[in-house]
Amino acid sequence: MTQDDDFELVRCCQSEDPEVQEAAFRNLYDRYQDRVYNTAFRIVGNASDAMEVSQEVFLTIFRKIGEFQFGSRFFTWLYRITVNLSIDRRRKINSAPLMVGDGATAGRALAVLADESEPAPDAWADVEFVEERVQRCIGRLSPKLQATVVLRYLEELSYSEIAEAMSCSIGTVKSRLNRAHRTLETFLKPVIEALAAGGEE
Amino acid sequence: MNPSENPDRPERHDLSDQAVFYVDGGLSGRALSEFELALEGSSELRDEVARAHEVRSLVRSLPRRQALLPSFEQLLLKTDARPSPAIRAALDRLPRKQAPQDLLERIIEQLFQRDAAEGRVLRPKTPRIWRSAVASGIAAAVLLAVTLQLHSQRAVTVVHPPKHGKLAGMRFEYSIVRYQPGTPLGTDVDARTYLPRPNSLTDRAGSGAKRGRAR
Repeated sequence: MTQDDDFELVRCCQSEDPEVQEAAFRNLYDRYQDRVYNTAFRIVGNASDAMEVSQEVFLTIFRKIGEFQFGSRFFTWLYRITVNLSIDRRRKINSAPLMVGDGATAGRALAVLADESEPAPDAWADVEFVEERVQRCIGRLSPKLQATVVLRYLEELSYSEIAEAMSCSIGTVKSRLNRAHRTLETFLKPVIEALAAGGEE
Repeated sequence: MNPSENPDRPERHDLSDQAVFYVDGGLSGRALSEFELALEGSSELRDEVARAHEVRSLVRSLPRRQALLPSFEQLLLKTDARPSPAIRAALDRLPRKQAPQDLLERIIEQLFQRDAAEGRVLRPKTPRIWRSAVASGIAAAVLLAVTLQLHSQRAVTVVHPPKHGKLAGMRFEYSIVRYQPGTPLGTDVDARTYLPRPNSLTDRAGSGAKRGRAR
């Protein structure tokens, strides 16, 4: 995938011909739905919210594609919208009261309770359990640190691409990544120790 | 924004901070060779690098999720600002209907209750908004009149006791009288007009009340 391909598609999306427009939208959607969904999933932390955020991202893209000025890369613009909407959603989730009423909040309440309990030693052998623990540690970072970690380690964007997507300098990206590492070291310490203990056995 | 996330904050460039970038492949050239040189001589720095490596590996080990997004067509249905080109094309293909010939006649009949056959105006119909405005005005006027009437009948407490006349100097616990519109409070009180109720008088006023009633 090249930048030129994206720009060509965006130009088609901006065209007056409905058929050309629809074909281009479809192409962009197929090309980026996986990246948008995974970014949203790692920031909001659950599948249903990630799906809603992803849909919102594409709807926003479709509505605002006419305003795209080709001043930045298309995918950094896409990531910026994804990160911003995901952070907004995460704030809404966090501000929601912890009441067992609907699935999302009930799940969060149970997660909080589970976080305080000591897992069984053999639980660390379960890949999904480890993944869930690591995801929870990422979820405890501030939204901007979290977005930086996700874009760098999971989406494999370069520092300059992250800077473009998050509208900040490369120095800020490095600083955030560094602080995210320091915080994650603390959060992930039990996970690392448990995994190390499991490996020794 | 978190104060610690201020982009204007000067970056820390000590070796400890660079462990993350070293692991992440973010160091190159002179910075890289300097760091590797320092790494050989510092076990603490090697620990830092090991920890950074563990964190990075754990985060990168998270699997990619299968996107369970709706189909493109379903998504387009949600774009209220821009209908799907396919839907728009389908709507454009719908034949346009002609307005019925007698539409104007029907409207005029509705507005003026004109007998369409005879062309005779039965009764010019007042627009509905004016009718409701007039009805509201009448209701408000009636309400105001009733309120004023009740107000004039309302019992009020005479704050100032009579200064002259037979009841002058009498101490009232309270006096409930019919208020006469236009009579300012505190003026001379006519005992015949403002007869206090017997129970409301003190012992001293009791005789006065009896005299008033006898008269």
